[in-house]
Amino acid sequence: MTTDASVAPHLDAPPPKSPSVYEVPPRSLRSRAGSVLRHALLILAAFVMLYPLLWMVASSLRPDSDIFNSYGLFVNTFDTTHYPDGWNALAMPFGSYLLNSAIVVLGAIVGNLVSCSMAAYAFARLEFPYKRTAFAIMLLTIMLPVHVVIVPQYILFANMDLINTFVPMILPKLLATDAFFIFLMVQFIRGIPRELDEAARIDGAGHARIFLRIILPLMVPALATTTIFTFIWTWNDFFTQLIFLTDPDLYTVPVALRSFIDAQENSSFGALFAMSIVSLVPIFLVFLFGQRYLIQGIATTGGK
Amino acid sequence: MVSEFRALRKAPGGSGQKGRVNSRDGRAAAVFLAPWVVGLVVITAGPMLMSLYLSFTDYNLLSNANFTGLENIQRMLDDDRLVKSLTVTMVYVFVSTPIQLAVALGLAVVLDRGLRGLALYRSIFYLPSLLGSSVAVAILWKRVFGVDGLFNQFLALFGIDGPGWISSPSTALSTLILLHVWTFGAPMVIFLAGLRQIPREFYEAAAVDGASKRQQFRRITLPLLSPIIFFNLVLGIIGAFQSFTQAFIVSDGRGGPSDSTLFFTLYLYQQGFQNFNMGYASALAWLLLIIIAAFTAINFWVSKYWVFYDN
Amino acid sequence: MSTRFSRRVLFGGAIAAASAVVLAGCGVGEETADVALSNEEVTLRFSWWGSDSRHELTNQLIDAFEKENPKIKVKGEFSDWVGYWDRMATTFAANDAPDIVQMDELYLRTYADRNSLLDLGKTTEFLNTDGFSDVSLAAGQAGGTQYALPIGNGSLSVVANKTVLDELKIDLPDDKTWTWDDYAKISAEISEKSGGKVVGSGIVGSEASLISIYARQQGGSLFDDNGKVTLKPEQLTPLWQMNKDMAGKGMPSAEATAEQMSAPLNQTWLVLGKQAFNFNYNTQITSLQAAAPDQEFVLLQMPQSAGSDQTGFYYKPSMYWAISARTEHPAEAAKFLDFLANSETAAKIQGTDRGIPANEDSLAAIRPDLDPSSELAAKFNDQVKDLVQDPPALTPAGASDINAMIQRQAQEVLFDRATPEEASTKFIEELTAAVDAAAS
Repeated sequence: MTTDASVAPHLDAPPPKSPSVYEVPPRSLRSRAGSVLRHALLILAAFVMLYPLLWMVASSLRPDSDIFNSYGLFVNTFDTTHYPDGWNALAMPFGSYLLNSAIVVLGAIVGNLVSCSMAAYAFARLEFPYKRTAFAIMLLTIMLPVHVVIVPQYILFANMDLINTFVPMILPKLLATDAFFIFLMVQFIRGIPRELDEAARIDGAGHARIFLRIILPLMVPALATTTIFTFIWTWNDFFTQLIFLTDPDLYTVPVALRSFIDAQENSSFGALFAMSIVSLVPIFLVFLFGQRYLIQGIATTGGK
Repeated sequence: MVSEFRALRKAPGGSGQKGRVNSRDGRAAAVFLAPWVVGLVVITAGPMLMSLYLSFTDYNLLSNANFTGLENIQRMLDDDRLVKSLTVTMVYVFVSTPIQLAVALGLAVVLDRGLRGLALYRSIFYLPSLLGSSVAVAILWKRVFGVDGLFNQFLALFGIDGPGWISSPSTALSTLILLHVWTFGAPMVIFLAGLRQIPREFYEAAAVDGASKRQQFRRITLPLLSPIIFFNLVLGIIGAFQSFTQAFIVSDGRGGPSDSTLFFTLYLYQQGFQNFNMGYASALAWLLLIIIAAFTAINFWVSKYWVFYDN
Repeated sequence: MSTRFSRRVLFGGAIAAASAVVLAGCGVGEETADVALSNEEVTLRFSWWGSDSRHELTNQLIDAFEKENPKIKVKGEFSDWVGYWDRMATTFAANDAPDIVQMDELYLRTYADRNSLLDLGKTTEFLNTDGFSDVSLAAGQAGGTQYALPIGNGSLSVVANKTVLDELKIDLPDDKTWTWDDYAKISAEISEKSGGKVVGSGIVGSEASLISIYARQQGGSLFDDNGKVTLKPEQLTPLWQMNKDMAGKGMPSAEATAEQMSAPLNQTWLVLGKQAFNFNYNTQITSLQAAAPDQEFVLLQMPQSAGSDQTGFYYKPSMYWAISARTEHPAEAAKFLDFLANSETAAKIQGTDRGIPANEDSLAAIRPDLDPSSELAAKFNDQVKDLVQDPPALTPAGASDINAMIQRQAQEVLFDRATPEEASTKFIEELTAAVDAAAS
């Protein structure tokens, strides 16, 4: 993300702690009650949404024998051993799986941002032959389930000697195979008034300039969405990472997490929960910081 | 007031308003599309065409594929589980997608602006989507909706004796639909991003004109957000048709009980990887592609009547 | 890049890429490399499934082997059960399989019949099998060829929760003579006496090996040696009739039973003290006991069929070792396998993690150090020694998914969507179709 966060005012940023903001302007009793009601409903909804997650956090702090006997969030016996145990349970410390995942994710994000935004610009703003056909083909490529293309893909990458490297996860993103994001960006670019391009064109700007100077800054929310989604999907993508990375040194988080489970054995659920939470922290942080970019848009950049 | 920014009705990919192609555009398109075209040719198309070919063979992953003509299609015609899985998938797609989108849109509007602690709320509502397809979620879901699960404990407070939601064939699919709705954070984020593209002045002007919140939502938000709603709808349907992981982890890859959560892709996976009928699985995959493409085409066609583009 | 994306350029490129894929896939059927040790340093890939404790033990095995054989490096690859088979299928399809693999009976013929596994008879120079009985070895043979070596032996048993029985003041049944009718009667009695707090039995006939034993007691079998389905509906129906009759009375309710089918081990009713009997391999008692330290489990023999002189019992390998047919280093792979199967060091590291060792010398080496529950399991193997019969025919290609098919139909019965007769007929039809499709 290249945009400097401090440039654009964030409607959503925490309000400055001056009394003037906290002093709610005189409002009708009704709207005040409405606001309280909204908060109450939101908090209730948030609690219901989060209960299973909180249960997981609580479970990661319980002895294994208690995990499946408790429904509440209250932890009787605090047992933090699942964290160090889970961290060291597999061939490598869990940190190396986090690192591997981070590399894959970073590559995928950069790839998607660059290649998908370029393709999206072409589809949204340029006229070229067979555009409809190309667009249809683009959509078709995401309609085939991965399970029937994984074997040919494996053969393809094995031929290039790229199994047990991160390339099979990253290269496709650099080549805009995630049509989902192209389509997303196309929809966003269409929301950007054409007059802005026209004005730039009259000033003598070429497509590269219009793309970089006008379209990209205005589609920051779409880019942020792409970043967040690429992050999460890649972070959670079990199947391709399982298939393309067979060397345990290169295992990523989802592959490592499944190694805790064996239906025939006593699976280490406490350790599984603990490491699930550990691996959740990065995505949560990315979202927490990334989501502020979502809310930038035309409104704040003063377009139109 | 809408007329001001009523857009040209145009399907994506349609020819430009000038109706002719200028060569500068063409050259630029070649550059901008270069990565995509290379990706298509080198990475995507090969395996796709390969799977198309395999769908006319008896490929079993371990031996050479023999061309069998239309045998796989014939086999589909009297495959009970195929029908079952299609039914399950259709119910899932057409129940869970609208509900999920409605919830996502509703909360996106509430969480767009004008309330304290928005960032926190957003992050909280998004959290379940982050977990996505992890094994931990599957275990959780079984705990919540098991015979002695959390949900039944809750119902017991009201004297209701709930069934084993996840293990009863009549309710298992609804728990998966709920799981899908629970992860509404993904479309919500996209809606939030889309809402930001709507200039605030429109709302201010409408407020001056005395329009109520509901009117503002119907006259401004909905039409201006329609490209994004459309996007979420198209991708939501494509995604729901391809749903795999959640059913897979919750039912241990079986689609049970009694095939009540046998998603199409799960069935295809079972055929391809567990029964080694990769030829048949490829045929199933292409059937799915045709179905999804048909629904997407309908979606695009209908979109002409309700999606507005500002250009 | 041309300005116009002509169809020819696009499709030409795509077809080129596709044919590259097709050609790569046609490496199937290459000749096996010569079985001789290399002079260079060799790296073997070795793959297994399991949970974290097994990964740790197996890495120790690798280290011990590398210490003894400095010129052979072993790269371990592990994953969970489901991911393991996905990866196996993909890597074998792409001719990029690991050299040594952990194998399961369900998949052995699927891979062996398609020439994916090395005939271990070609590696006798490096792989000694003297420690294995003929019955054990036979369990790794398909069509007379030794494709895999059993790691551990187990036999299906009834695991009884003695603590629960004691509380209810019910004596352990005499398992030397008990029949299926006795089993059902006692199970119902347990449920009744406990006032519904404890059930007698878990589901019956939700897994291929139990059905196989029952069919053998009726003089039938699940499959024959040619890989044909030979089961008759009447050899299965009584089992599912039992489920129908006992659901909620002697067994958990239909829903709870369905839930138990996919419950992790430490959430099973047996472990939680809510169930008295369950069908498990004798070797699983170790995990069960570990999951429920305050309950006491004992092993009972499987019930027999009244009026039949066939016990139907057999030793089933817990899992196997096998070598990929297209390994470039068959000699080194066999050497490693020899270490895994015969070395005392390996036996001591591994203990009973992969079952009670099938190799009798290995078992003797670790027997004095067995923990009490593993000792129970080992004792059970000894106890049924005179009762076990020849192992049944291996699961044929196409039937690897048999347990899912069984569970599906068993659930149809539980949820009253089919009668036991209908369900067993349907199951046999489905199984036959799957096996025939794979054979053609």
